[in-house]
Amino acid sequence: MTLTLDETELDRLFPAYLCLDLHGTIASAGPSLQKLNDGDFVGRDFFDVLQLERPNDVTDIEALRRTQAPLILQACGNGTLRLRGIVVEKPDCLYLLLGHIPEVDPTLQKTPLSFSDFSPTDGSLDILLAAEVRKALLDDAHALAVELREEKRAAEAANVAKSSFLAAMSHEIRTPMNGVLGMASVLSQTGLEASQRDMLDIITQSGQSLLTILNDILDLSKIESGKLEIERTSFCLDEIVRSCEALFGMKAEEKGLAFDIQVREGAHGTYHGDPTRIRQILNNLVSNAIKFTDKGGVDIRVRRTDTREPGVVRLEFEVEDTGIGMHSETTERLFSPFTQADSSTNRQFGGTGLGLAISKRLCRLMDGWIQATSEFGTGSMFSFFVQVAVNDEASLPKPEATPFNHQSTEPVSRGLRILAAEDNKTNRILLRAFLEPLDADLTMVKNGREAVDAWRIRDFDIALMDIQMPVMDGIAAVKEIRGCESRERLVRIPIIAVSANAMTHQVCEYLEAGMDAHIAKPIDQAELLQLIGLMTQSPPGHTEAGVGNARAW
Amino acid sequence: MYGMIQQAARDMVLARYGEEVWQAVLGESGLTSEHFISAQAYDDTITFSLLSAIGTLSDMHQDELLEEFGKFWIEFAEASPYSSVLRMAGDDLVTFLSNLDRMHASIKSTMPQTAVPSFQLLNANDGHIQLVYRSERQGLAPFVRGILHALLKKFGHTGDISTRPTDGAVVFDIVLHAAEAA
Ligand code: HEM
Repeated sequence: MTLTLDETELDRLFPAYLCLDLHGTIASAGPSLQKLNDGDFVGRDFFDVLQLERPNDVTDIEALRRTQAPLILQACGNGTLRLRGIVVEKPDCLYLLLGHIPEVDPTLQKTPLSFSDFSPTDGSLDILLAAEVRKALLDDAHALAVELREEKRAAEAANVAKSSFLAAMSHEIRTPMNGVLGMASVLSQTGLEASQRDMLDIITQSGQSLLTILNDILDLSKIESGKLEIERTSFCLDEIVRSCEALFGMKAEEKGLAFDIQVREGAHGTYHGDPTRIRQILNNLVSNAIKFTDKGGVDIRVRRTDTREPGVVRLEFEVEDTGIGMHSETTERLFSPFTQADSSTNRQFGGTGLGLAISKRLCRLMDGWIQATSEFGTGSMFSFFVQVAVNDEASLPKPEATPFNHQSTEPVSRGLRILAAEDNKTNRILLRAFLEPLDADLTMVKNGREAVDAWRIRDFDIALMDIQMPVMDGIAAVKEIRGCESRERLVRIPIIAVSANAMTHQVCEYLEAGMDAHIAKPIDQAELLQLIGLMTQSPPGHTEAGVGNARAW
Repeated sequence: MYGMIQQAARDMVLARYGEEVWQAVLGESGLTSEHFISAQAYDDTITFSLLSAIGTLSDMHQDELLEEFGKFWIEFAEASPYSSVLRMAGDDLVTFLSNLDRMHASIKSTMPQTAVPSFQLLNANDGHIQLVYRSERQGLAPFVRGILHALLKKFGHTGDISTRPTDGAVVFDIVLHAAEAA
């Protein structure tokens, strides 16, 4: 049976066919090729305009005529146009029955092929469209990823904003709370009946636990909004251990628990890091261990291991108890914020449940890690490590020159002329009450401007300066006072910075501005009186190195 | 239907009415996600609840909305990653319409879950074009009508389009205005 095709049928079946005469000249071409090169294929030598990719040993028309192998052609000068087909030999000519090879590469976009260039007999158009659809899919996925990234960024920003809000709120609540506690403390020094003293104790205790909760929230939200800074200062590990023992040894004893702290050989000594935060984590773990243990005891072990980085070591702490223990599901949730082991734990033992979440984040900030293993009914072991720098002995700071004796609140000097700048009314009342035992001549002002003005017209023995105040802040006021003093050769007035911001670098900033010492809010009355005593005893010029530094660290 | 339809619906609402109305449409239709993948097949109920929510909020009758949506569709597809597909379908109205069926049939090999319509060009003489549309879905003829209007415009024609239902199909009669007919 012979099948004959007329030209229209040939055009439809093989839109890219070529017909060559016996010399290899192109006699006619299918509509797709004519459209592509404005038909200028016709009349030209086949080997001039097309290149054989397969079979690649065919270089003349004779060899082409004899070939049985399938062809792959490339149009010269147009890299993206490729054709595939076979040779059909006729007595007076050669037919190359060809179709397009769709380029699955996006460069195809540039070639002006359309649907009719593809034979309906094969799947090349489908492949081409599949490639387009795949490309569209990738575009979509990309756009989606961009959109989601943006949404994630917005969500994170909202979370940070929320944390900042929470931090601001806690801070706002803390100020009046300090007022309550401060007043309670002042009140406790007056003559009270036993029943009144009991009531006052409850006010103080409740206020204290509220303050602890607020501080936890404040810490966590500061960490989450990236505002918590880790200090780098020299500290003595044994000091941390001793204070832990002092704080919890008694409590353990009261509960009839054994309490043991071991510092391994080689770990003793001084390091460079954040002692306050390390102490916070350790105290949190020890306090939990005692809280959740009724029989047996609590063991604390500390050791030091090297890291790959020279000069940096790990301090590893283990706190093991023989307490109630936990199930493994509980252990997994322990370090997430706002999940206490179970809600009944909260009712039974109190607390925000933020302590461990804060500890975990603090560990991370100090390039460390915290983990817990526990067996229900048998006990738990919490371990954490932080990385700190080894201190070279020469750069050690002098030991605290002036430890404050909290027992002695007896004022050193009476009848002092004190200037105090504080914008918050509660704090002013509190300050006045705290200074009461000094029997001082107290001038209270509400901002830095008023402080400078008051200082200009009167002589004072000492000034207390809040930092954040409207109109003029404490730092600007001190700078102005110090400037005047040196220009006009006046006697230097001792100035104590009073602020809630007590990070090392902030305290340094206060001292650089010309403050002589710093006391942190909430103010401890005994500490304040002691500090005033010290500052008004020695010549102010000397306080800078002595008392100032002692209080800054 | 495939996600590109939902994407187009979203773009149309955003372009014509803004973000607030789009959020209202999402609420009204009960959809929880506004992210659509163009080449992924979604259940038809999603498409239709989206369209009916747009109808409700834009105060348009469903057929009227579908026709508007059809007009928007070409505009959207031309700006989408599928614009190359549109371009390859043809440079003139008749070639384009004659390739519609092949286009959808070929796309079906890539997206087997879709139910593509079929289009048959009955004749195209003297400015009179007859196109038969067949679909497994009901009620989408106004959408096709909208698309055809947009295609007339795209290829520089004006004309009238009328429809008549036949056995399980809808025939579109397109009469081009005389000036362009030649
Ligand atoms: C780039 C261009 C286009 C692409 C990629 C495309 C693709 C598709 C796909 C995949 C479907 C199947 C829907 C599903 O079941 O998921 C569809 C449906 C449909 N297409 Fe297209 N299409 C395009 C252009 C057009 C044009 C120009 C028309 C002109 C009339 C058209 C008319 C329709 C209609 C009416 C449906 C509705 C489904 C039905 O009737 O069942 N499309 N299209």
